[in-house]
Amino acid sequence: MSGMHAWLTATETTSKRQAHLQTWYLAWLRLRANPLTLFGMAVLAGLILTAILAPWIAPAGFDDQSLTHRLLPPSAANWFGTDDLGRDIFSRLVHGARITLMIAALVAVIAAPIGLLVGTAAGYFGGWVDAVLMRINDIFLSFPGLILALGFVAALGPGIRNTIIAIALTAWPSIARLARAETLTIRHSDYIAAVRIQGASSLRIITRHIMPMCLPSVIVRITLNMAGIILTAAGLGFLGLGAQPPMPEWGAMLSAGRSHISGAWWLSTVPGIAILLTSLAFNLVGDGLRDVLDPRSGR
Amino acid sequence: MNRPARSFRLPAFAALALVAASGAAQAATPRDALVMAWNLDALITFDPAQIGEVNGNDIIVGNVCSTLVNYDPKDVSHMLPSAAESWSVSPDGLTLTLKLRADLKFPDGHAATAADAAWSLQRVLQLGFFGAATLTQWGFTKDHALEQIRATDDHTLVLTLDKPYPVDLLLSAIFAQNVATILDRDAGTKNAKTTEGRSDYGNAFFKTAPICVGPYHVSRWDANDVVVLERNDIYFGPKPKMRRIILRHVPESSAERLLLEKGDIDIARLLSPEDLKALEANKDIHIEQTLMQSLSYVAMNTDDPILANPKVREALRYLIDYDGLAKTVLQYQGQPRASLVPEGAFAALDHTEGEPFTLDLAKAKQLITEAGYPDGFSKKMILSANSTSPAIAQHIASNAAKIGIKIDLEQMADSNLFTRGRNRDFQLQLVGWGATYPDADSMVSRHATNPDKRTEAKLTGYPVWRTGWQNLDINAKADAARLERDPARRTAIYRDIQIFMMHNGPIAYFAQTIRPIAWRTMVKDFSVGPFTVDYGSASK
Repeated sequence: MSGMHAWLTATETTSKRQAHLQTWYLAWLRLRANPLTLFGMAVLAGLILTAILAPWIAPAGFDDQSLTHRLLPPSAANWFGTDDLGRDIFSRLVHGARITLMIAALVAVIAAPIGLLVGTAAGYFGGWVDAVLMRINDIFLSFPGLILALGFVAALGPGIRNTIIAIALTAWPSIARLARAETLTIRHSDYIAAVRIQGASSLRIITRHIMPMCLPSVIVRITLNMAGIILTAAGLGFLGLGAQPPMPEWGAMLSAGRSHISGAWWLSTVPGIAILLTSLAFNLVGDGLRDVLDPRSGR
Repeated sequence: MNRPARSFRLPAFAALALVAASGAAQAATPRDALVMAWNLDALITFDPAQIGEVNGNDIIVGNVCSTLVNYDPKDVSHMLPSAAESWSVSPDGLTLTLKLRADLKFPDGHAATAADAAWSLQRVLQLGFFGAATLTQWGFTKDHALEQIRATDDHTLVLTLDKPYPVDLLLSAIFAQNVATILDRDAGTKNAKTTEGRSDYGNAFFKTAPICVGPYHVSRWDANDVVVLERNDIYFGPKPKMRRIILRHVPESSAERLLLEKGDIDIARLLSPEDLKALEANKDIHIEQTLMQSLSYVAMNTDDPILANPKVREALRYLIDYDGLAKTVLQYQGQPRASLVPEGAFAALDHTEGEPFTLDLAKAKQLITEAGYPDGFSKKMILSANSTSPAIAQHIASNAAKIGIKIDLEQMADSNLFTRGRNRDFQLQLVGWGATYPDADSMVSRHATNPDKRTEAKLTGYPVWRTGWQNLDINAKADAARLERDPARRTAIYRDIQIFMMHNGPIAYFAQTIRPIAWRTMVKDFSVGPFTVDYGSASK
């Protein structure tokens, strides 16, 4: 083990592979040094495992109703109690993790490439391309995220697919901004000029030489955004515009528990805590990643 | 459900602040005043010709403005004299004569006559507000108002009808309603405003202070704060025991509950099922549950080829746990009802006969198999995002899934839900409907009779048209029942219609609305009906 450690921290590397692995290992060491980040990663890892293994972890289905067992407080049989249709809240929460993670992942997968492409193109070409793309970007940025998502969902119709589209539409502009700023700092670098003289096309320069340089900050940004994405999804669910019943979306669960808040606190509290913990975890991990991936910070 | 969206609950500290402001001492309400808390934000007018929302109706009808006849509080399908002491109808059934009491007086003491009553009815037609339909659906028109509604002497009101309707039906549908009250004609004409050559018949004047024959008059109305009614000592009926009625605007259930527990109010009108449950154990508080004349239901659009099959529609009725819902999700809010005529109305099927269905998955499975869909099918249900709708819809969808029917739910704002319904743009719709008078005719004429089933007919006011369903035999029966003057024969026709609709109709009713009101037990004899609440009956 110590031999491995020595190999991974050797000041002189003997192979390209060793150098790559060293970068990752050192990043991991820095991440590990931050207990808050570790906590966040543990929560996220637990969440991902829960989502994958949901059918095996949950003691009941997410829509197993029983009017005779409604509004039961937390107990050994129902860890987080039951809701107004007698469904086990723990089981719903576990299945809901899938929805939350799916929304977060799909939004990231849709919004990150769009933002990256728009931002780098605007930054690289400048001029009217930059003006047009950035003004469109400004239009999107001038609305609060939730309001814009609300508008899109109202136009597209409620449902989980439209929720994802709506949130992705509100998530790309901040990434585009960031990618553009990064591009501006590197577009006149010598290595870019060298590639251009060699005859590389604009597309090749952007995708092969600029985008990789923007990627770390975009990853940090999207991780930090993830908390906002989850809150927006929960907000839409709360307003009845997100996932439709009986889907156990956390925001919708919280909203459904609202009318029982004085008599059955667990209906709203449990999904509320789940939303809080997940958003917090994404924020902590995002902070940790920034410390690690941003070469200008710390060290 | 067909009721305004319930606003989001404020946190409990708002309620605590209210209690703190009212002082730590146990402030009892005055001995001669009844203090009621309610959400009064929908209140816009007190003119009986104009009121359309629940607050205005509750405060004015029977309390500030007596109606010509009253519903019997014990049996609303039976009519009692009020400002009119007797009535008679001509042999051909086309002339209705109402004899008014001789001792009718306005709050200032001057006599009210049949001329005032006739003017009050005529102005409803002239003004043409929402309530005018109460008269126009029985053949009264704006152009012929003066000939159709006449005062032949000080105490005789004569009405000319276009068809020989049964008297009890007319009394229930018109003369116990807000439009049939007696306003002061002199004050109305003196204070009338004329815009573009059209008189407002004193509407602007009566809006805040109607001058009516009744047990109380409005002495103060501060919007979104308080309404105060003072007793009229010259009222013709039994003298109200409370000198003053105070209605406080408290739009929060939890705040009302605390005020009631502390004795700062006598009656709470807006309590959530949660708060009612908490109050149930309190022996100082009584919870009165009144059976209203409204129903909750699932409408099935027969434009859809699968839902056009009556067996499929009947199967859906076996997917609802009527008793289970009433005891749990609809506690304090509804009781089981499957007939289209709500219990309590004239000719309504009784409790048992009006609710023959139970949750029976085997039976439902058998019905869809007979209909040719043994493997089930997929349908979409639209519903309100508010109140109990989501829980009820999930209950039905979960039972449907057990026999292979997949019901996808789509929640939406109430306004959207109603528009989709009126546009016939749905497969299944979860909504509600309130009868306007306690007679089978009120529901049957809208929920069973469909004069024209074509989409382009746009009969959006008929829920049955929205489902695209029509049965000419039912149309004929309903028309005959409307003009049948023998109560026994009338009841028999409505019985046939109800039983047929329950098994073949396009609408699956599952609950009749209950309105809960909580009061401190020192309040006695408070008479609460589905259409009117008699403030004057209360004592303490």
